[in-house]
Amino acid sequence: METGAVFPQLPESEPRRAPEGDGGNGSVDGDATRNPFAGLVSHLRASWLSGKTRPMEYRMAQLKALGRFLDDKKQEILEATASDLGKAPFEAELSEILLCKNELHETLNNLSCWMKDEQVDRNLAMQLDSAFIRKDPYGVVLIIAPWNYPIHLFLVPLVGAIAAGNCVIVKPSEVSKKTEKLVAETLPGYLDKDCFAVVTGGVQETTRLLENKFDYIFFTGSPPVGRIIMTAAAKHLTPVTLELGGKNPCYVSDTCDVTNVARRVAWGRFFNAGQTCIAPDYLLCTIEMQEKLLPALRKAIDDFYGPNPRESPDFGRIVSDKQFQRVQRLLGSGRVAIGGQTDEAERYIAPTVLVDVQPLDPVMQEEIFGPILPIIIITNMDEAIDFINSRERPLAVYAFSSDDKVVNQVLERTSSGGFCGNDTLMHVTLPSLPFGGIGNSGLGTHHGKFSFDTFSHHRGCLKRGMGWERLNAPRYPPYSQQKFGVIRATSKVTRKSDCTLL
Amino acid sequence: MERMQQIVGRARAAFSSGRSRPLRFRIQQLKALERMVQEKEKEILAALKADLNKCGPNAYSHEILGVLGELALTMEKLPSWAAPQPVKKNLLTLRDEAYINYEPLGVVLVIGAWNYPFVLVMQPLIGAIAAGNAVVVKPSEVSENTARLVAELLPQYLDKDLYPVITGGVPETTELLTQRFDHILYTGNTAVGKIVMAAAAKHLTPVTLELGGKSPCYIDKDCDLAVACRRITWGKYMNCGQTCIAPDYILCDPSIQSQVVENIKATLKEFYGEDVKSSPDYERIVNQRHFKRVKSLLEGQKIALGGESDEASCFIAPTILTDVSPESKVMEEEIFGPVLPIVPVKSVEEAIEFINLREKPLALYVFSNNKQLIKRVISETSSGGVTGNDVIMHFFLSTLPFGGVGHSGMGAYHGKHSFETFSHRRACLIKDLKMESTNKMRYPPGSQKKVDW
Repeated sequence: METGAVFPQLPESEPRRAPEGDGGNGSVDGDATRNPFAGLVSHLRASWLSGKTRPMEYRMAQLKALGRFLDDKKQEILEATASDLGKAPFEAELSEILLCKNELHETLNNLSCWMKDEQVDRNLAMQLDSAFIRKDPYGVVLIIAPWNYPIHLFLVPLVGAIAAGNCVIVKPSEVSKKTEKLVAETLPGYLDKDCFAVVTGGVQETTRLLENKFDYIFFTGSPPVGRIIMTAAAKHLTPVTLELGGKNPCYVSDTCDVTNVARRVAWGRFFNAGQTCIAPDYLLCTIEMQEKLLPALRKAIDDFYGPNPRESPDFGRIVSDKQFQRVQRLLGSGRVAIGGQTDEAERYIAPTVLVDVQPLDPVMQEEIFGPILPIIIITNMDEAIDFINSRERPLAVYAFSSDDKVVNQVLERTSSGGFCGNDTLMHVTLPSLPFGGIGNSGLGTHHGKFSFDTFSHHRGCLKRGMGWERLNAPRYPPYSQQKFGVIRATSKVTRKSDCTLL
Repeated sequence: MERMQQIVGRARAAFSSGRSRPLRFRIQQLKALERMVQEKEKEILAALKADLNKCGPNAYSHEILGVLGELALTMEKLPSWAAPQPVKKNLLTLRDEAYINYEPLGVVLVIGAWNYPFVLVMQPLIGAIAAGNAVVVKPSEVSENTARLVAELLPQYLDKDLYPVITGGVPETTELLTQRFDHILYTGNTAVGKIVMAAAAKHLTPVTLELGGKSPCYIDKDCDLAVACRRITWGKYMNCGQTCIAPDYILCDPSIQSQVVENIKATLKEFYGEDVKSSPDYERIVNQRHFKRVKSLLEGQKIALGGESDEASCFIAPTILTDVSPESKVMEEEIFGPVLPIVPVKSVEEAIEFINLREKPLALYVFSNNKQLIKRVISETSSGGVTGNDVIMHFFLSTLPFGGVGHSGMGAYHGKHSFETFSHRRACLIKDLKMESTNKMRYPPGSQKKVDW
């Protein structure tokens, strides 16, 4: 089986194991039925131990091959995502190709700099020594990706994991079926099969996969599954990055350009038919602002998708029947002010705005992940901030106002993964900003250099000389007050305002 | 236990009030900590003596000095660490404000260990306060005098609601871990590290785990053996071997094994005199349980030096074992005692392979005059940290992140790394509500023209 997917073969010879633990090789005999992935993981670990992935040239070559994958398979990617999610080619090209290539280019341009040992300041006692932070690969990394941006959400972390010198197993989502098949069949052909593999399957296969020891796990998905992943990781003390979700609030103040707000919010909400982890989930505004916003939102939706969004090639579909039914149920909250139409056969839900929504309504109890925008009425900014702070910390907070002070207040008095003032989604397109959650919305970050740092172990290194042993004398027993004074002088960090008695 | 819930709840309410956030408040609390360490130095040293038989100057330089240094550094640098960090912008965001905002996480839990009981709660506490968090401190119950002292002193100097101290053993810690925290920093062993991470997973709480392992020490034939052995002796037998980054075992060519033993023997005499037991500078094993554990590692081994012990005082003499077999018990677990096994290896390749077959250690040491060899050992292995041609010392440079990898831990702290560990780096992009024309390109209806541009 060329791709190494699902049931990989055992390697010819297995590396020796240490007496306790398993040096990270999974089950003792790799019995195919009990632990079907043990052989694959152990093969990748052996490749990593061989040092193959360390040289910069090797990593650059693999990254360039990833770029060729995106170029060669662009058409197939657009078709697969169109089939899986009704993704508009325009959207797919932006999120699945362009943004991925940006990450690749950013990484290729900077890799040699990122890989360098980072020299650090030394104290007086270590002036003659060499002190630096070495960026070591972790080893074998597991990337588990979701279905909503099925290429982007495995490829962007993969770029970081390869750049950092790791071997990687990619587990794309089984929900976006066509894309999963495309990735499993074609990606391995571009990468070194000894170091990179694609594994397919559903919950069962993922559970078996997680029984193995990985050196890092990167998961994008929902908070409940995030807990399961982290619990599995704890058994092996595997560090994790969890990119989860939540309900991203969008506060619109009374002083703003309503037309522009409506367009930016509508764009962020209805992109990918609302199936975006950083989409504005619900809106907070006064009743007066709601009156102004509704016609503006109507116009924005009409401008974007025409009078019947179902016929627009630019509006997506819900990924599965299960998700469709879940989102459809949420239409029952409050009252439909815009949209509300659905078509089960096509898994189409119209761009919808709900009003008269109460905080306890079903649409406010879960992340919507669909093209529905509920509006919650508040009387002022303080009430909006209190509302936001009474709920789990989200992946993003949005605030719209022509008044800088308002935007800053919302920023300072709330907590979230990221923040964007006067727009939606855009903060994640800048690779110099870290992308990640906090609390229920996740832990860890990635994008740009943050990906490289996430997938590297930062190893503190101090190289001393063998000479000047006399300088070490004060630290050795027998201890005395005099020796101690010398230690104090050479390792102390003084406050600038201190007077020191010499 | 309701009490636990109340204490953590109060800390959370105190954090939500916002008072721990202003820089002025944080620096004021750090100053108070500094006063505490200076004013109560005698009491702190007495507690350390009672818990580990650590003598004054030793305790001061290992536990108090570092804390004072960390406090001074943090108070000085905090304004620059906490300032928003502007980031590089692209064409699309040229007119916008883009920066990383450092924000507190919320309520942090610090669980200390017994071997350096003061510094291992203080150093994380300093970083957590500096980052603007509320902090629940849980010192190790094994070092009971220090635990009691910390519980008495912190409320006298710090904000009582924001920085409570909880004492107790396994049941109390288990109960504490069911509460929700926004970060947990745990120092201790691998087995409990897994339990802490599993408990944290229930709340999706990020963790920093400072664990342990067997830190290898490779001695090349080409090195100044006398100097190397003196440095190794210092690092191995300080605190009676109860140091997470002590050189756990030695790897060296069989031809220099006996020289290594002789050199260490001579150094030990220099350090502790003819009768180690009566030296005021030699510590004791912390309790009976660990005494028995370490003593049992000597069974069936070739004792080249030492081996004497006295159960009543938990004394174990500095001991060296030679020709140790990789499969023996002393090579299975972290020794955490004054027993130094020497495992003969015929080459640096063999040493590297030996190290890589085992769990990644917290520290790795290599002694050689050959710079290329040192480079090679570092490049072909993985460990939390490294010191070349010495031991322990990378711990004392706060610009280096201190932490483990694999079974030896995850995350790091010290100096600025503490501040970053206990902060959330929030990505912020502030755009203008005007300039809508630049956004037109991204809106539907899509077209090939737009994409190509």
